[in-house]
Amino acid sequence: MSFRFDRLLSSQSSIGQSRSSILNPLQWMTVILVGGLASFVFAHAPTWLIILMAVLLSLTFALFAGGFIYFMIREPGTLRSEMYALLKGAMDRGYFTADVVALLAGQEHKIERGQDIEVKDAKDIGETIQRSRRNRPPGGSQS
Amino acid sequence: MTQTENNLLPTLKFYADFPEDWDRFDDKVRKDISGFLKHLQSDPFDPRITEMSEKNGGYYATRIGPVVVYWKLARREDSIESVLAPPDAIYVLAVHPADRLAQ
Repeated sequence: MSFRFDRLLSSQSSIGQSRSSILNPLQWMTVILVGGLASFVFAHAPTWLIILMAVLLSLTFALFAGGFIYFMIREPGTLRSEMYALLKGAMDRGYFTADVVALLAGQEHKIERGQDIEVKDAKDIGETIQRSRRNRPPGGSQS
Repeated sequence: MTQTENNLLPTLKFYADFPEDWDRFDDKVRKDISGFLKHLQSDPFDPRITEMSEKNGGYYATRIGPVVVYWKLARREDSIESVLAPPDAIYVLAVHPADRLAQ
């Protein structure tokens, strides 16, 4: 059986081998610094070099932990693989057409100018809508 | 829910024509929308909500039965609170029939 180098390269460059998540570079940085620190300790490197490596490792780990917590709360999807993001994108149902985005921007602007109906608690939606309808001038729209 | 807990919830701000759309929904859809917004208001960063939603910039679209609810988490621009703090308000920007949007 002949060795096909081109096939090997092509299989290794498939999307499955791509960056696994937004924090992947920081994970690699942590691994490299841990390896470096261990090597320095093993090789009895100067103390300042070991301290420098330990500080860099601590900073990288703190950044990784902070980033993970931030993205876990705000953008959990970014902690998943690029493949997941691509599949999710493919599954998206096309709710955001150009017309819809323009409409949403307009509505957002109106709400920010106070043309809105405020509801303190979602369970009172029906009641608040009835009240706002009663307070509305007859035949008039607020928008 | 106590008064204090109630005050901590982000305010829901609906587009002005929402009552007209609300009138067109049947009881089941109204109940489902209320349930979704109650969930969103009590836990705006719940990953289960974002996973079932489509995102575009700061806007989200979530399908609730036969309709799609468009919403956004809003924060005061002068706010210096942590980015992890709950939003000040949730804008409900539009509710469209899902079949009209289907590809």
